[in-house]
Amino acid sequence: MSKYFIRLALISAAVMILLYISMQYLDSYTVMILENLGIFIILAVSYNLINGVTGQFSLEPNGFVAIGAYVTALLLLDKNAKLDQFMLSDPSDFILAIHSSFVPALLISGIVASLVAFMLAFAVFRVRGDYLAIVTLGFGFIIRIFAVNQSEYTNGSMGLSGISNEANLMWIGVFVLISITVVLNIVYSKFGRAMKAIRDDEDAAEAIGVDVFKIKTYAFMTSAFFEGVGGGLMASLLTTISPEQFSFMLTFELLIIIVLGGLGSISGSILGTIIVIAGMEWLRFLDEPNFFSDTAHPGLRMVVFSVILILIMLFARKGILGNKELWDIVKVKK
Amino acid sequence: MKKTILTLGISALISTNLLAKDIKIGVVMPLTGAIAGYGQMTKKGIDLAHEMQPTLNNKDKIVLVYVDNAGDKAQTANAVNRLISKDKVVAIIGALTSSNSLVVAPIIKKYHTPTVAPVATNKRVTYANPYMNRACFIDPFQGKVAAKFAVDNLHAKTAVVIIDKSQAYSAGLAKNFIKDYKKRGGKVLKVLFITSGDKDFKAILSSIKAANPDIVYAPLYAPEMALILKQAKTLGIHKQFLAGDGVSDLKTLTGVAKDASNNLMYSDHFNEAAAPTKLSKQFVAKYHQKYNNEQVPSFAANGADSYFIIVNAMNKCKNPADKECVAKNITKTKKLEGVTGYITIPKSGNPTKSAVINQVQDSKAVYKATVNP
Repeated sequence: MSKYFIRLALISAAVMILLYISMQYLDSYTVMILENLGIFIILAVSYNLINGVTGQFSLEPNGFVAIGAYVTALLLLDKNAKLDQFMLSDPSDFILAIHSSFVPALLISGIVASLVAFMLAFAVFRVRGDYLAIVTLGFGFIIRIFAVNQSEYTNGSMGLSGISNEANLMWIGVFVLISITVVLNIVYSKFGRAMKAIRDDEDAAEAIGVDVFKIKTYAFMTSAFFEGVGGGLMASLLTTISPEQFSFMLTFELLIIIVLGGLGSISGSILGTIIVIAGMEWLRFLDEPNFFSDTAHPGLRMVVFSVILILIMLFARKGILGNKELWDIVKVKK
Repeated sequence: MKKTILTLGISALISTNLLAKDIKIGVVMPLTGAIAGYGQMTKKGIDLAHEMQPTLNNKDKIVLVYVDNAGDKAQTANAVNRLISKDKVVAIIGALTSSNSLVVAPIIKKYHTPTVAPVATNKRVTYANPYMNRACFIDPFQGKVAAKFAVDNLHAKTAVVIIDKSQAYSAGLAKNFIKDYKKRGGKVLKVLFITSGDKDFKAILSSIKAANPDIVYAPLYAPEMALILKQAKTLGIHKQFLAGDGVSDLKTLTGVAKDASNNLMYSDHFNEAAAPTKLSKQFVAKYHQKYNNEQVPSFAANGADSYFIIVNAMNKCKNPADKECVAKNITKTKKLEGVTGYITIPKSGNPTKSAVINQVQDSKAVYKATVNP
């Protein structure tokens, strides 16, 4: 066990040093892409826990990310900033009273999201499969409608702005490491084996004594915690949030990432995030005037990107890594 | 002899190339995605403005670098960072709308890059930021313009207000309309709410019929406005509707509402029939020539003005690539001849401009009046 901790510490230290160096020497564009990448890795890895590892086809991440983003934003903004920007109705006393620094705000975001997940679990895990997808999809809509209409808590469609920008590459790196470590430890623990059992055959798992509801709820709450933290990081990175940012498209993007990387594969989710999030930026050169024509082609990158996605899914039906991990594949070749 | 001429020619060519630098202006805009239509309209205006003034006074060539943000916040942040650190632009035009411009503001403040947002009307965009400016008026002003026009020109004593709850823009205009309209002695009978994407407005229309106001103030976007007008006509409600620049996408509006859209009045930034300056007359003529006699949309006019504001500031600087100098001179813009009128930008970054009131007649925007601040 101590060998494991030494290895973990070494890897973490190496990653943090690398991130520190990139922050000092890379240009702001690359750093921004890395920051975005980090946030989406947190979201994708935690979403994969419920959707890939436990096999529950849930479409809720946009809801939890929204909760996390709003909680962090409201905790980081001070009283004057809130009074200044709440335009549609005056902020409620509770909203005015809450205030905290960055890291507590992120943790509170995670805890709130995970409490919501706990309550939600009683309702949504009464159904399975496609029905679960629809119920959880509804949850995402409810959160967004709440954000638009309860303007004394969320400032409605105006959203919140002027959130302090404290989410730098280092903080995002820390939370990426934490989320990956936690999720991997769960996957390789007895809980992880129970989750996989539920994925492969829910009835059989129940028959051999797995408490299906409990395990599903654990997975759901863990997933929600990191989605909340990721949402908080996103709010602090962009410094402004509004309800339309957390539409179903966000869930859809995450779904593409984890299906592309391989459902149930944590390293696959990381790979998928790199391809989808960074790929969209790398392909920007296609939009620019090029060798063949002098005019710009806005949107060409989207077309090429879609073709790449189709090709990957045609040749790797189960995603790039299937449900294996990168290290499984490398070991086989040794 | 030939050789000397050739050498001379080549050296002259090289030297002029060396003397005249390329000055880059970045443009962040939604050229794809849900609001790409507005981005494309604005791009047309910026392109034409660039054609009209492709160089600075000192012969430096201006190069426009377009980056698409697909109307998305995270992509806007990427795009702005790319323009600043990779393309090394001196100034930025964008991002078109308020919600994306709010992402731009802290980044350009950090890297001291002067920026002009073409149609970001939310008042918080330029808040405490010496590098952020805009080319348009702000939401509170447009609401006040509508209230002033309703009282002074339409002599409307009572009004019903329709607000699109899911659009910050709509709420911003309506709130200021109500405040100012009451101050001017008008009476707001009812405030009704809709949500973008609604299709059936019969319930709110019948409550308008019951209230029987002189006018209906509806700062909505074109798709909802079109449906409301169409259904009002079938229900036999012939009230004067007043809207904001959100309906200026006349293709959508008249395409759906057809002749039900006639008589709709809305406040806007610009109407080509009332071109206020020499430059705007020139701009309108060239626009018609370049784009098939299409009516100049106000987005194009504001896009062009953003470009002219930046170029004017660059001309005042000894070194046009000096970001600090350009930023300082943008906020010193005084009575600059622009497309939408004479532009003055104070330290706050919010220009004082007059608005026009247009009326829809046969799918065209007919100029009705100019309202001064």
